[in-house]
Amino acid sequence: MTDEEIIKHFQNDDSSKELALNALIKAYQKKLYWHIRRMVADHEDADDILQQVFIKVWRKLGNFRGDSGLYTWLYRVATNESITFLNKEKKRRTASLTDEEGNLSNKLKADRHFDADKAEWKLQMAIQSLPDKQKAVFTLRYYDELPYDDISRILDTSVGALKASYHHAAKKVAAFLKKD
Amino acid sequence: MENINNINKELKELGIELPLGQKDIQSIPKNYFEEFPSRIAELIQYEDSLASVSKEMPHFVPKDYFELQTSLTIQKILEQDKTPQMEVHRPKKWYNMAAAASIAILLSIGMFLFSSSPVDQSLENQIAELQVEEVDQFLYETPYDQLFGKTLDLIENSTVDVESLEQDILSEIENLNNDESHHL
Repeated sequence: MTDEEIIKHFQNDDSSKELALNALIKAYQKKLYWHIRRMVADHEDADDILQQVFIKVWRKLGNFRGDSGLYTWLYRVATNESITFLNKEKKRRTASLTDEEGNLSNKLKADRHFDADKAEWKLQMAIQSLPDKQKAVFTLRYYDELPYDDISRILDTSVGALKASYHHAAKKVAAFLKKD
Repeated sequence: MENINNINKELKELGIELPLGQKDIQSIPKNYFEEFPSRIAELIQYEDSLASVSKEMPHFVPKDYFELQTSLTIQKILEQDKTPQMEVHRPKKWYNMAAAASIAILLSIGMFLFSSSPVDQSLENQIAELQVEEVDQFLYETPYDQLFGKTLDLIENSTVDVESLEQDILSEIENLNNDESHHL
């Protein structure tokens, strides 16, 4: 099923809406899951957020105006849900005086495949040290390889600001990797 | 998606080299993606069925309960406001303590020094006969600003010679100091 067919079934609110949802999930679940996972580090948290994203999609896709592409809208919902989650976690940890960045690093280290000597894991640790929005910019560009125009629609930020943010993030990540 | 070469080129222009190996390295549960669509379908079904249940509480409430409760509550509040409450007046203790201490010291010194001197026996007898409760009552009833005025009146109206009393107190203190230096 193409994106247009999926949107059509949702907007018609017909009996094939559930089939359309199934097709949508199968098409986008991996991309969205990894995008969220890179933001929040932990599988359980990523799973919760991904569920919330698709519940929202189920409720709101019928009203989708098509101003942007479907996948742009999906990434937008996923990014907003991830940042909202991280902000809530920050408030909770501020109350208990625990370190947010340290917490995300600990979640990475808790992974059964974690290997501090491998470059890929060091990169993950470096990414978790970035501020939330900058982390989103970096992962969307570096991992999802999205054009700046698409990232601009997802994050509602100008292309110029995104380029500056990405370049700054890349330098921070490189410096973090050199530190060890 | 944008050409990966452009992204690598962009990083090279920044003078940055990042690890380009396998990207999604974090572990996920087995069959996670295979099972996810059915989990979402179940969750949506559950939420939809929950949404169809009324939020109205099913418990029985007697007819006109809230109207009656409101008027009963208001009545109770008004009754409480009308009930007279006893006010407890606590005297200013430190004033009384200070005044009692001053009078006691003055009277004690006077009695001590004039035990063998010609004094007004009637006043001495009166003081000796004074009960503690009477002194407390006097202090409690007398306002502070009048207390020392009354005390002075008492002294003025007696036959006690205040000047000679003062001189005697001072000479007694001198004698006591001389005795102490002898013992040292």
